[in-house]
Amino acid sequence: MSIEYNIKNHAFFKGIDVDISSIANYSTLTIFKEGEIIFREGDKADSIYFITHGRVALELSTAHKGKIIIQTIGKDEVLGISWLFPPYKWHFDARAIELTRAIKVDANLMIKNCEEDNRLGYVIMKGLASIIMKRLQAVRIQLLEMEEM
Amino acid sequence: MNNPYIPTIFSIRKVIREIYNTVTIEIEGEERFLPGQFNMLYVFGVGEVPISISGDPTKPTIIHTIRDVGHVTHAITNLRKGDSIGVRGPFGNPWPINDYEGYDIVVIAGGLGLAPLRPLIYYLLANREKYGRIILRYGVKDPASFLYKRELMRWRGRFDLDLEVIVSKADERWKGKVGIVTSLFSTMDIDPSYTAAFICGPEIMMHFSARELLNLKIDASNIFISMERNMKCALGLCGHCQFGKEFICKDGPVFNYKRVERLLTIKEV
Repeated sequence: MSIEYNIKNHAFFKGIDVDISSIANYSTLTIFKEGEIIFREGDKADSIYFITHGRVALELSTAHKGKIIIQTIGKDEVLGISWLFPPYKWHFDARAIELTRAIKVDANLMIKNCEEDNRLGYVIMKGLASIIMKRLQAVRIQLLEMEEM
Repeated sequence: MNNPYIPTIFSIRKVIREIYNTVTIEIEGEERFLPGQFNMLYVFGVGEVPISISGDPTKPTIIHTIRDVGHVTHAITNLRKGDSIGVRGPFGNPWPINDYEGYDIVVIAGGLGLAPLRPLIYYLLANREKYGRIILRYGVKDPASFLYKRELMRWRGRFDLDLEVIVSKADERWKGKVGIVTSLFSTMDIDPSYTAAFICGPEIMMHFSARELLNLKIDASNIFISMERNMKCALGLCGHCQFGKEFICKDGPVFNYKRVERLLTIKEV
């Protein structure tokens, strides 16, 4: 399958009524083996991954408990948004916990594309804002649930 | 049930330690109940508590799952085979499952909330041909907190039950999903106009789960939650479990979400 096909069929892009064909120019299809590290905390954040298959764990290393998985991201979800804001570094480790396939998009080129094409930029930023809002809400609920469960 | 205030004394037939602070007890004796109902369990010299029935409604057993969270539940979780326990019940409104034959059924459980839902799942599986899709979504604190692990594995192996689980936190050995139970809703293949949902867990989880189901266009009148308050008489007389104008013991513990939605957001109700 082509990159264009994968992009168009990812949940993030479904329903978007602007031309997204340019994204394919700076995207690649990638496969991560089970256990493979996708990125590490502190490294430069310069990519966004649209997961098309499998599952990735976002992990945090702690002194007392070792590695803690704080969230998993799976098919039709988006991995990696730290490239949006300074200091442009990953805040967590990302590890494929099973065979994972993703569309890897060069974040710098995507930002450039969004700045040149404001309509595309608006829908992408709106989509990312929606993800950030959902994750913030999830963390709040998670904290409250942890007290009660 | 003759005098509803007087407990019947039974002995414990079996104790299963589910997780570190939670046990399932099987009590000798027979009882007919409906999924979602509860019994008052009495430990002599200690006190009485309301506990949901977690057994199979198609069999005349008395099974409860209890978490050690207070004085009486601590005593219950320390009972052994052959010890005595008082039982009053069953009380309360059941899950209205008979009203939803032909519907897709969504069951959402958080933590210990799977216990009052287990009889519903047994019922659904015993009457599988009467319902459309059966979807179970179960969220717990961490991988060590799953209740009924063997049963979950069995249910997961069925082709006619769509089960997904999630934990709030995990270490790197965990291969499953991490997050909140509502993040499992996107994989539910349902027809919202013919879907009924049954939810039990921490109040905050029920509230957000119901809201998310409303976003999926499931009608509020087809969403049900099981509430928990300090029930004492279990007959709607003492007022300990009053919840707005409702009594959890008599009008609940199962409520239609539409009926109690507003109350869930009012402080100290």
